[in-house]
Amino acid sequence: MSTMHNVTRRDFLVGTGGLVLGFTLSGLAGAVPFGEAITYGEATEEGAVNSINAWLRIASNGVVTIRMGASEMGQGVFTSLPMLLAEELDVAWDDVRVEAAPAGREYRRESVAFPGKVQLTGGSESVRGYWTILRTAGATARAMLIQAAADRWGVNPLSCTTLAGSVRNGTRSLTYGALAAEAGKLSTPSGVRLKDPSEWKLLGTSPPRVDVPSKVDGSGIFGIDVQVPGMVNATVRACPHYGGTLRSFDDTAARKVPGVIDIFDMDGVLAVVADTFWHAKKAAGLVDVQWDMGEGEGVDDASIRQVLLTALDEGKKRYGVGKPADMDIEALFEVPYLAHAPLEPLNATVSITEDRVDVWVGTQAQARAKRRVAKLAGVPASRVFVHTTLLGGGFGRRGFDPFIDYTVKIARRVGKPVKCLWTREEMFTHGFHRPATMCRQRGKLGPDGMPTDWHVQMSAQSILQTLIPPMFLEASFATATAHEGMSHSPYAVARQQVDYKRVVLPIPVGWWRSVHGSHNGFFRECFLDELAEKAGQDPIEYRRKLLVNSPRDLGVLNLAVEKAGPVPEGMHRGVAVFESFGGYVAQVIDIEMDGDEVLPRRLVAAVDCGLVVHPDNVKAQIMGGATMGLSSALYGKLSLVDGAVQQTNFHQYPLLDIRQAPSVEVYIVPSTEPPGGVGEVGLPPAVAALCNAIAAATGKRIRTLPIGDQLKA
Amino acid sequence: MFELSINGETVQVDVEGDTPLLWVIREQLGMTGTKFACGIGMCGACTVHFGGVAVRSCVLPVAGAVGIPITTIEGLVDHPVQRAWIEEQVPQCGYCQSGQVMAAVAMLAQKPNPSDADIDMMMSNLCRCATYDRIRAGIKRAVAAVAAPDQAVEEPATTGDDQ
Repeated sequence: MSTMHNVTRRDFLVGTGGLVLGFTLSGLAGAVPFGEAITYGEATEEGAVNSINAWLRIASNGVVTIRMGASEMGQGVFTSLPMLLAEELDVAWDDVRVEAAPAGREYRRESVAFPGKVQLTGGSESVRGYWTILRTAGATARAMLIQAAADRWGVNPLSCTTLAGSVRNGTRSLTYGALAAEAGKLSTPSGVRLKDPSEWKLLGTSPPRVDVPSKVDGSGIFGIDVQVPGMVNATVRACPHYGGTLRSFDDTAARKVPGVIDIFDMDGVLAVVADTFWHAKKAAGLVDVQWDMGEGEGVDDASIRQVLLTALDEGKKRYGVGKPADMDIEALFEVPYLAHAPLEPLNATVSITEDRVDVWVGTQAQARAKRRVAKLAGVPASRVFVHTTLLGGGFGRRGFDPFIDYTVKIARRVGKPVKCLWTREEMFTHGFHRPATMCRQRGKLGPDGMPTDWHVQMSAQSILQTLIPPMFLEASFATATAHEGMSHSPYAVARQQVDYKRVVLPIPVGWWRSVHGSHNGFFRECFLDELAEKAGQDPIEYRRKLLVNSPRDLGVLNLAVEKAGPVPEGMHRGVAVFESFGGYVAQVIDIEMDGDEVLPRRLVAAVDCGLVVHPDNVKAQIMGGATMGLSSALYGKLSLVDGAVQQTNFHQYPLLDIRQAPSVEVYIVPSTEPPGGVGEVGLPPAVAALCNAIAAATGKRIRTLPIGDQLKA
Repeated sequence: MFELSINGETVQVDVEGDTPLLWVIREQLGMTGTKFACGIGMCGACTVHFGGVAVRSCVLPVAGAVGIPITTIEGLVDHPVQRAWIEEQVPQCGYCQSGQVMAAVAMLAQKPNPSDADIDMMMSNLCRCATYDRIRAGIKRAVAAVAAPDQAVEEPATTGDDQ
């Protein structure tokens, strides 16, 4: 609670420069008014505006503008994070509006998963990472406003209080708007006291999200919507074979498309530039390209499966559990590569002038983007300005940025501002996929039917493969994050062992919503159901007995089961519980079978994510995470031939639609624990609960995802 | 040159006839509320009204769009569906929601009181954030608001309880 974030007024002004001073754009139909940052919220500033620290400025009329270092990609941080600051500042929520902060050191946060401070939206870390920083920024600003009022009245600041945007002393009162200029000149106090949760007025309530109105009238600006005067449009075609490259191309036909400006080999990637994206896309499709398969040659589903299968036994270090021959049950689980498939295709807009580089982009990693752009453009980072737009879905995909790199390279070549937008086909065939993962599990039951030994063997590529040198990846079990949720199991089993073997394949892999929970929830919770079945016990009671030492897992399980009530006539039930990113979630799903088609009808979730900032948003995230999990379980699969992804659009990579989406109820376990993650935690248990429900309905154990047509007779 | 009627205005655009209406709207007319996502008419992010019917503008050539009134998300102002979407807090990333709103408005014009089965059949737009449960709730709220405007519920109806 005593951690201070050192913020100064100068930091704010420096940060402001990129957004406010440099660009005044006009004259283009529908041009984005980037003369100032886009703000979210109904309030409008009037009169003089004064910054108090890097995070907030206050206008004469009391309107407070709060800057957000995290990106809004649907997870609600443009509402939940400003609430942290507003609570401590003691300002009416209606007077708050929000804008995206530039990339800058002052907007970094604490991280659980990464060393040091980061400006990175991911890991379900935004509330946790800004928890102390933003409340401290609000409390510090409040102390400065109180000091300014006390100075004016000649009283002790301790005799002053605040109420909804004003400082009070006896019958006297001054608004924050009237005090902001003086407060902004004061030195930043240290050691401010933060409120006890019992004093909260705003946190724990659910004000409407500030970004939502702009998402129902089409006015919200995503990266794809940015328009800069003089801008041209580009698209790219990279080698469809992972590990391969561009050999040669014939652009004779493509050059005949009107508006085409340039077609060139950009370090092994074909770049097509035109007046409009439509022309660029059309021309790109007409280029006759010869690709070198490179390392991708011969890499397909069967060869990948063999690599994973062979590796399973290589991860074994010792037997801390019973030997395979002594085990009562064995099962082999497999999941495929997955695409993030955010609906907004990747894009960035870059303008390079003599004295600055501006980048408009929906990114989860603006600080990294800033560093890379500076390097690619050959300018100091201080002259790179990253303007973060709304993200049309992230799910991990927008944490990686070759799409920004491409745009910078094209802008340098054509000497004009460029928007580079990918096609859906490019999106599907070039990603950082959830890795295909294999998991063999063996269990031994005691006389009471409860497991005494649980052996897990896993093989997969490491999502850290391009970020950490291989020698460090091999050095320790901890860098192999693939086992998250398998190791540190909540279940009381006397002997447990998890072996992991990293495999090397030329497929780019990365963080996909819920990361390893996306497969480990399925592996662990489906195998647990198999153990219960082997023991002839009810899977819910079985879990309860095994969760004796894990009260938070048990708490969510009990709440979800209680709220779900009895299984309705004609329905079949599956249950799962899984903790990830500090959020504990249990789900009960009831399905109907229509012939061999699975119809998830009702999903009841209970979540314990510690102290809750915005309950309605927690519910929305659990609903979305769980339903996205069902989509991946039913359909999600990328298949490969010669290292090339075969799915090119949604007709080959179906998403769950409204007809199959269950009704979702989410219940929150009251908690005084520190906040846990929310954005990803709803996904892992959904996959397992669905498969467990299918077993209840059909007797068939799903061990390979997706479910696809496995239930067809 | 093609003459189009969009959001009650007549506009002329100088493009090739095979240019999809989506790109005319976005790149020629500068209206960016209508989104590009798949380009093959699968996902519905580009949904506009074409003679009052929901169509996927990414696969509709502009040459075929002459003479029929077109409405984009920018042409909807404070529609009951938009209000319901805010009250139910439907959007997450929001990228598909222009299309979802347009699809819902077109459906309600045809079926003012749709059953769940109607919704299943007529709302085929994809949402990667999987906000489907709230989309359904939003449609029902809009229906209720139109049927009994004075009795519209003020508070967002959330599923599950609060703490």
